[in-house]
Amino acid sequence: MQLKKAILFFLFLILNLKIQAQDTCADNSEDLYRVLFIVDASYSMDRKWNGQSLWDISHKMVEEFSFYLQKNYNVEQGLRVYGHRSPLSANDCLDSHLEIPLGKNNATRIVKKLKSLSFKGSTPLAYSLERAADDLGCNSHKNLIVLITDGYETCSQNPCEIVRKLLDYRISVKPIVIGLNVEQKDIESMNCIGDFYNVKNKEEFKRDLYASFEKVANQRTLSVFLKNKNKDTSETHVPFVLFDKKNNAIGSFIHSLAANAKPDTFWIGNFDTVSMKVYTKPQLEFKNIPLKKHVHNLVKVETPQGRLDVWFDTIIVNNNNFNDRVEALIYQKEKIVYRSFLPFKVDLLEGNYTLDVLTAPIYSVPLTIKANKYSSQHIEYPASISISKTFAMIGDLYRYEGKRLRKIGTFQPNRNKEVFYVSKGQYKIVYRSQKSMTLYGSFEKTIKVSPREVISIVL
Amino acid sequence: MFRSLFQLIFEAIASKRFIYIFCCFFIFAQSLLAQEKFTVLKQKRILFILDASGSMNEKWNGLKKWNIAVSNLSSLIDSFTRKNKDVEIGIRLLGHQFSKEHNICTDTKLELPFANSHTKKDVEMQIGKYTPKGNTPLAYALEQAEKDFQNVEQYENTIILITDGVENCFGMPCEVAQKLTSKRIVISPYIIGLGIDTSSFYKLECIGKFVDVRDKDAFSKVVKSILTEVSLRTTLDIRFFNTSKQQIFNIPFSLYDKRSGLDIYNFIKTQSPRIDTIHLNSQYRYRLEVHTLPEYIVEDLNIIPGKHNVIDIPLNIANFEILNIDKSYSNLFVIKSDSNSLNHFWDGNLKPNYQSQSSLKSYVLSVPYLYKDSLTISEEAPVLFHQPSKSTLQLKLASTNFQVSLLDEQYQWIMDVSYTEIPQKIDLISGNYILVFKEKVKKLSKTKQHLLFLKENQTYNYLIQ
Repeated sequence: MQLKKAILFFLFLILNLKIQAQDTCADNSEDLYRVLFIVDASYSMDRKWNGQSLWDISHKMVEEFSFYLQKNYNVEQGLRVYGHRSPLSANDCLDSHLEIPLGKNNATRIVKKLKSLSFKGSTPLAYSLERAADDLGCNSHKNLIVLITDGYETCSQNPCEIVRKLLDYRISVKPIVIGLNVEQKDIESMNCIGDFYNVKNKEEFKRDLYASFEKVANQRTLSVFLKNKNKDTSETHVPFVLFDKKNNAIGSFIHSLAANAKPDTFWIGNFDTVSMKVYTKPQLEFKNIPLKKHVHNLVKVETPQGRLDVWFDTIIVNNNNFNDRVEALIYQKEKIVYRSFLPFKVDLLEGNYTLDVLTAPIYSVPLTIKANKYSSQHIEYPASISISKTFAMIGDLYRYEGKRLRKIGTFQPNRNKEVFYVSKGQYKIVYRSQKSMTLYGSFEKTIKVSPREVISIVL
Repeated sequence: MFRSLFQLIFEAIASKRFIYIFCCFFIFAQSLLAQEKFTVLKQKRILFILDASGSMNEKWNGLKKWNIAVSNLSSLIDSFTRKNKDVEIGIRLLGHQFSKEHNICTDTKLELPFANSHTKKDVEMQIGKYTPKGNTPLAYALEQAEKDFQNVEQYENTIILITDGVENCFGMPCEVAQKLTSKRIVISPYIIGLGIDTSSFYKLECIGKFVDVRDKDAFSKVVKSILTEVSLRTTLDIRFFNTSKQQIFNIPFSLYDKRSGLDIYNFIKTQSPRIDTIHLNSQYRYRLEVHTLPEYIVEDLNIIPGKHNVIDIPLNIANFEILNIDKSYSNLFVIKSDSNSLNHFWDGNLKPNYQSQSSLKSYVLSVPYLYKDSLTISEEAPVLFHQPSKSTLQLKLASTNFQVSLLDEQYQWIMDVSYTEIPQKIDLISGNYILVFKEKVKKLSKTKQHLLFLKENQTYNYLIQ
């Protein structure tokens, strides 16, 4: 049974590794930026500023900016365009295409592509954003979307909703939205997409495009790698919270690596250092972690965990089995690091612990947890002794330890019934009427308790 | 041990203590219920197991050991029963029916049944008619003695084993004696050796109180003193006093027989102005355990046989008190001592009586738990806890896929919330908390955070989605 569990656990580890070994990130350099341009080529782009169409202005701006990025940053760029294939009359709400997939040295290709296109169709803005998630693919880098649009979602989808989902699933994406004189009524739906700049002319366009990128580029990004000894992948499902210097929380995170072996990337603003609380059991704290600018920071911390399985046999006594929940505490030194009802499984940090099962008396076992190891702790199934009192009495419950009686419970004078959770063993009740005037009015009852037994006694 | 027994015996003889006439009297349990039983002071029974194996034909100063034994016993029993009507005496023989050549290891029989009126003549008639001849099946004889003691509960039983040799039938007398004691059939047996060689002492000492005699006079003295000791009445009062020298009551305690380790008496001290007298068996050494936490122990009570003993126990006991207690709330708390000699949990409503001690650690099992260390508790300074204020948080999880952790406002982890118990009703100490949760789906999802402001005595509902 234990072996079976261990094998299953091992299998699970192997499968996990296999899944996580697939990585869609080709370039792993720390300073890589990945920028996806989403450019509006809908019919409304024929509007003019100073005699120049918004379309012309946009693609010239992208051209210039794309070369700027290529020159100054380690960058992969890609291009998605919408509204350029089907005419407005077709109302093609799926007219959004990844024209240039993300790659190095793509500026020329992007410019060529844009030049070859013309604007004509609808504005499936939300749909484009939705597809962008797949375009970017790799989650462990600084992913940016630069969306240039004049704003009219014509496909009656809600971009805010889509972005919310997008952010829910691809938390490392940072969208920048350049609105080309978007109408007041649309501003709200633009704002919710990301950092939004509503520009009114070419100069503002240029200024805001560069400034917004610099602002994002200045933000620190980091991935937190929770290292468990020899494993190559980060621990998952361990919550952690990042704090700034003044100990204000920046954000709470829980890793779930899914198909990607890399931990999630977080954009956390302009912080030189952060500290971190990791909610392993017991929790860990890491102070003053330095974060570099323009570089993706990989924060590796040791969280060597092993799994503890506290279990008991499923014994059937009779049709009156003990089914109440008995609590257990796990201490490390003087701190309670975990509490749970029996039985339970829990991941603990490598180290020494004490497990206390709250039967009377406390059943106490020392535990040693090793990283990546499975430890199994068998507990004798608890039982109960319930005592109904038919007159006012005082009394105590004792457990035989060898031949010695050890008091494990005391009756409460104004209660009619007492229930004690115990483990298997030999017990004795010593009781006497409250009014009794002699020692010989003390009576006793010896009880033998088997695992999972429910014993009822009337005194 | 050998020496101390002798001292005891000589002391007993020297002091010429009275042999009390043991009247059977009843102590009624002052109870509300008619069916509550009352305790009877016990009658006494003494069984002599007398060796009649071939070696008893050896002579001391020209007299056979057997004859010395029989003549001394018959006169001692005669005079004893005249004065002690509350003591019944019987004699079992071993090795008296079959000669050694038959090598019979089951040769033992109760030849003189229990009675309180045996005369010299009775003994001489029933026992004196045999001549020693057989094996020495000590263990078997002891085992058979169990049958002699009918209605065990109503008597205080004693065995006096008289032998000149050790077991020669491959039995285990020590184990049998231990069994008899643990079944509470007999009080630890006495063994009188009749010139046993020193190297065999240890084989008999395990059975009970062992004394070896080398002549007729010593034999007579020893038997007499044992009879006296058994018949003497020993009583005990245990009184408990607090630090201001006032008597305290309702204290549970146990008296253990030192030899067998068994708990003989388990009593709860009454508030009765009458004296709570315990009737002791003078053959026991007693160990006292007062059931405080930890126990107050007197390893060997100084009991003078045949006297009324009063033992005063000074206690310094106290209890943890929880103020403003709300009984609907879990008041479990764990008390540990630094040395780990104490590790138990109690419902805070109870008063288990802690002995005065320091360096205690306490954990109130609220959520989050409260911890105090370096606690000192004593009668003069009981420790007070204020019950923490309570709020209730009812969490609903939109699906099984949520991973939820509860933190306090300093971002210290308190607990994980699992889907298996829905809705999760958590009693928390009022205050501010943070929920951190995330949906465990195949794709990556965002971690969310929610602040909770929980006011006293209020219930909050929150849906995790």
